[in-house]
Amino acid sequence: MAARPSRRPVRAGLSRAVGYVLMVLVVLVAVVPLLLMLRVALTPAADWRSMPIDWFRAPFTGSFSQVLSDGFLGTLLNSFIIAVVTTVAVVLLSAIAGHALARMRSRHKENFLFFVLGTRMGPAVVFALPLYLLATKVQLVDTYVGIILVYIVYNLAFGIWMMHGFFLDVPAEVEEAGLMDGLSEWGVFWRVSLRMVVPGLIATATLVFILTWNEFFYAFVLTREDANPFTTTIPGYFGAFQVDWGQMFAASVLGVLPPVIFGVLVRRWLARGLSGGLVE
Amino acid sequence: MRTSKRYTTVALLPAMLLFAVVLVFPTGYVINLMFQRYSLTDVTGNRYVGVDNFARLAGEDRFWTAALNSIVFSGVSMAVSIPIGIGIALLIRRRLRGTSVLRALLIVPMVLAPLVVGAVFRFMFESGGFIDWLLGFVGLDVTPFLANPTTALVTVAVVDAWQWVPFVAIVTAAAMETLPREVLEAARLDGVNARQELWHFTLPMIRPLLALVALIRFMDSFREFDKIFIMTNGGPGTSSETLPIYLYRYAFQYYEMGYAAAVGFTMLVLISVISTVIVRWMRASQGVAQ
Amino acid sequence: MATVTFDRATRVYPGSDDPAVDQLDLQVEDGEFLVLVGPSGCGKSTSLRMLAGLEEVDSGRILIGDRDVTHAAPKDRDIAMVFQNYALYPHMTVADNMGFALKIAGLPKDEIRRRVEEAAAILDLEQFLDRKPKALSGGQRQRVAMGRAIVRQPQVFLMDEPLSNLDAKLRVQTRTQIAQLQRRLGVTTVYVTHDQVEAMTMGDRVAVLKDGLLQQVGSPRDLYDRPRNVFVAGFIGSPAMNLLELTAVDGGVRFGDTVHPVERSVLGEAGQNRVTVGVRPEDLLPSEHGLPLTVGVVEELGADAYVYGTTTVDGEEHPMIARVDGRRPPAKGDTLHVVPNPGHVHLFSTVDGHRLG
Repeated sequence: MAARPSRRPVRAGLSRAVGYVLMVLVVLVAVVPLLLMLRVALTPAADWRSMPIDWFRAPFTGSFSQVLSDGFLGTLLNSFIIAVVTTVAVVLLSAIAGHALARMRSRHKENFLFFVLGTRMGPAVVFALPLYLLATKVQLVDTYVGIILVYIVYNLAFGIWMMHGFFLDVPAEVEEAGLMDGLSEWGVFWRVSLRMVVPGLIATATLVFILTWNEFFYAFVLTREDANPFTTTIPGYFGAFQVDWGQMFAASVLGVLPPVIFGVLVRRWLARGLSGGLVE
Repeated sequence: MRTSKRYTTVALLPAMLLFAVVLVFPTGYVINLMFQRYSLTDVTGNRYVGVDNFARLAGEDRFWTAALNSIVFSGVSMAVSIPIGIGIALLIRRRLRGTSVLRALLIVPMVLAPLVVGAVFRFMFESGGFIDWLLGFVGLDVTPFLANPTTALVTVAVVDAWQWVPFVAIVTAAAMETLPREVLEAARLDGVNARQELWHFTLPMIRPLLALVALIRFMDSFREFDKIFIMTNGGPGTSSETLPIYLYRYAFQYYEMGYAAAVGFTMLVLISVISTVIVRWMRASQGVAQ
Repeated sequence: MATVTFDRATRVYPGSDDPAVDQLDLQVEDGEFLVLVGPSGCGKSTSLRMLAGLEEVDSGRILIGDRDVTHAAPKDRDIAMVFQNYALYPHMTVADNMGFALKIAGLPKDEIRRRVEEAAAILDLEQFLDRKPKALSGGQRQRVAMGRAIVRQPQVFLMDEPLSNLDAKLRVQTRTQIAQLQRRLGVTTVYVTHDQVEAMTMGDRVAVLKDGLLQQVGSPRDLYDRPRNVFVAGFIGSPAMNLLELTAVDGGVRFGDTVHPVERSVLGEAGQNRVTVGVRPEDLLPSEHGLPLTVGVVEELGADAYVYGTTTVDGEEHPMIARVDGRRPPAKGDTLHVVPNPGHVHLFSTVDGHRLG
């Protein structure tokens, strides 16, 4: 009996210590691959495999300068154009459709929403085949228009689903107040409802931007050398017999930076966006 | 606000049109294609062949291997990411000092391109690479994870799980925060200990959300292409060849479009069936929660 | 300013068989303050929303002044509305909230500013004009919602339970302010509430609804003194009127061991020998005879006290409430006898509840 009160604090302290160890472990597992990538990108070829890794050796910039002189920046620019246009278009279209759906009272609504979500489960590999044949026919292979169109639809489903959820949170009364104040339905959408879901718009934009920026397969199939985003260049560093890890990681680091920067900019809404609106 | 039919129609029209052009049309195209022998390399024999493609598919061991591999891949990825994600959510819930840093850095894996994730882990799993060094450091035997047919698929699946553990953790942690405090406090007053609280209160109460997380994780892992493509490209042999890789080979390397269409269609059916099962479970558990 | 007319206006929600509002006939005079009151689900809010244009009208007509607005869009009706949750625009300041309608209407900026300031002065909101709604208390938000309506200078004000989110004390204060403001501005007002005290204290006239049907419309005094049916009798007044089913005898109704005289012609209307007798708590007078009232709880209010107890009619117990002298209240368990105040007895048919006589 006497031991009881004194055991509690010891136990709590121990469990706290275990908690901190776990936290450190989780953080390490989460970020080490990224750090490793950066380290290898800044290491000359001869030392890629020397273990343990010397995290603090002087940086070697050869891989970066090689990648930059090889026209990699052009693909980054492509990634940027494609991701930005796609994001703007998807956010706009899903806001319009999501609002209409949120205010719709029809038994078709459920079906439509499931159809919309269903489009997300279609794997890129299945749709890439007909889309490739179609794009060839209308000469949209390796064009911004072609790849952006595909990305818009690829992301629209989830965008609509998310915006639908955000608009459900806008009280009907506020919209009705807009009607009473002299707005039309469109006016209510633009001047009242849309202003009230700005966090939702940012969350949706975050998800779409990051998904589009990181997409590989459609780009791999539908672009060649004019409209190809940075992801399509990565397999090129894997030769038949050896891999240029330094350049590949230099390219990867450059390619990873924009979403990371974007993530930092919208950090308040990042979790909400990446979880598809499941997180407040 | 009660919207008019006209507003609804006009607002949904652009999205519907895009879906029609870039989705319904290709689906129709796939359905048309799957009844044909349609090769891009040998065009002379192209014609409608009825269900021959499906008969061929049913008889191909390699297809069944790929299908099984896909299920194993999704199963492993989910079985690893969901429990660990819940564990991290519980860690976040303890609100130890530095939790906000944990939350911020936890997001890193999700922001990376899956292809780049695959590339980094391929590097780490190289013979004599980081993982070997780490295993040696803690005194374990070294195994060529990616070069061994029995471990390659599971290894890639674990990497897929690595990328999406944060998704599970963040969503679960948020759901736990919204749980009504009074219920848990009442349970504590009734003498429920921490473990019982987790099993009998916290987890059952967030079950609908966990089901949704499982659905999303299933759909995403089942169609995962990038990591497998860059880490093993389906190898060694066909030991890590999942349906997306298999389909990719037939469509874009062997150019057997008709057969590939049949594979694609089968894949869609498979995904729909499994998703429906998960959605059913989701609805059933929502009923329980209410 | 204008009159408002509901002409057999009916609303049936899709998927429902019973109309939410059933052939409502109602005329609101120019400048009048009309209150729609009833229990939840009675159709009072639906009626208001039909007038606002937020709800479709399935049959019948609605007129503002002489103009048929049955199918007009809300923005073309020249009416302003105060919502239950205030429905302020969270992304706009108080001034922008109040001036938004004028901005949509394309009024010049200085004119908007002038009218917003005028309204703000009336409502004591001047120091809050640059704040967002989030930074306001419940009472202040409520005043902003009022302000948004009055800057419009509309033909009609619509108010949908505008006080239900305020605490009890503020509600009583604001009740008076709204009533005074309405009289000062003289704008025709239709006001919805579920609270009969609010209805009685604010309205020039009160319309009682139940199950989508208009039960009675009249001045508060009318409703109190001559309720047209059992429902209105029980709904209006607090504590509620005692309603007992009693036996009619020759020349009256049996009230315990006494008989309350009623004209033969009135009893004839009942068509049978049972009638529902309604007596308000203040109209039950202590007596040697009459109905026995067994005291359950005594609620002492100072000058008066209310006795909540039971009485027995034909061997069955019924709850009963009586007002007694607050200086000599009975004790719990006592039995008093009460008779009705002769001029203040209400008789209703036991068949359909309509008023007799």
